[in-house]
Amino acid sequence: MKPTNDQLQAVHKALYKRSRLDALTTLNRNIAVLMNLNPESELSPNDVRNPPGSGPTWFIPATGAVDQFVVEAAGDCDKIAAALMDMHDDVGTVDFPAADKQHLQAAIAAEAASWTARGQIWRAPSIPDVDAANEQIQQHVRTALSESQQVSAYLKTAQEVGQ
Amino acid sequence: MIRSGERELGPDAGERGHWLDRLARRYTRRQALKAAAAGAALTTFPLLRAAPALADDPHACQQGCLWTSHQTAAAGHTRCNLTGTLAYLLVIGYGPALGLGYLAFPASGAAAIEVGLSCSDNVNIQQKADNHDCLQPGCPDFDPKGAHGPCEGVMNNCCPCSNVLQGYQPCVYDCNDPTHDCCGES
Repeated sequence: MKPTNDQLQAVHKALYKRSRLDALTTLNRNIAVLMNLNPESELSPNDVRNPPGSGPTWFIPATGAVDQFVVEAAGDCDKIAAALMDMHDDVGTVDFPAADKQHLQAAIAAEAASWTARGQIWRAPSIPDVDAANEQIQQHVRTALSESQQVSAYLKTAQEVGQ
Repeated sequence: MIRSGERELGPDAGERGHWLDRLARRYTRRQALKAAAAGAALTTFPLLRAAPALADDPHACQQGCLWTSHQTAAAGHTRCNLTGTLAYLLVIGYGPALGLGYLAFPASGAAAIEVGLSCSDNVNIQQKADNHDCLQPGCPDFDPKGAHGPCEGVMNNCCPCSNVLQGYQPCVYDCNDPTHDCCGES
């Protein structure tokens, strides 16, 4: 069953709330800075994290504790997950075909879960089993992708929403 | 045995006694010549100072190991971008592209997104594991002459050196050679 134009607009309104998109963009940029993930950022020549975009200093050498920037970035992962779950809940209040709603909510929930997993892995004081930890994230990513493909008619690209 | 003219140092005087006591001590001509030659060498050839005991320090590898982890991660992220597609670069909400993956998952780019994301996450997590190893004594599995290491391709010795960002310095002398120091002062 195809959604009506009114239903599509109602879903878009729930998904792409401007304040939430702005918050998500800010969180994403914070993470890129804290985790040194932007190759176009500027680092001091003496910064041990050179070259730009090559990741964070994960541990404090003197104590072995997880670096504060990483802990902060992990907190931002949690905030992204929370914002996505708000999006999930808002979509739940919209009246549109039930099967589509189920797929869309499943996609958003899985994307949120992938961010929660990243946060957990990043802040964990223990050494990760690299393959297992990555799989922990990617299983959610795969679900998000496969579920979202069922409801692509409801989704806009980043460019389309001006982010 | 204490010779005439020397004072016996008490137990609290320290290993070498007070400096005034040492000044008062008699030195042989050979000792004096040795000391003068050593002083001249230190002022004339600053790079030939006795090497610090860095090579014996189990954490001397740390700086170079961490530096290498960044070079490896940078290469990994570049590889991830290459394995992804333009869709990956534009859409992924994570990593260098600063996109917004949670806004749209175009079916046409889904496979590339999955590959690219998995690749980026893997590089990140691997770097965490590598960083952890760098903090262990002897930096297990780290080879400064290995891929992306500070001495990659260097045929000479490669000695720990905290004076340089990469943490190691190629050196023609043995790292434990007490008469040569390739690290020097920055």
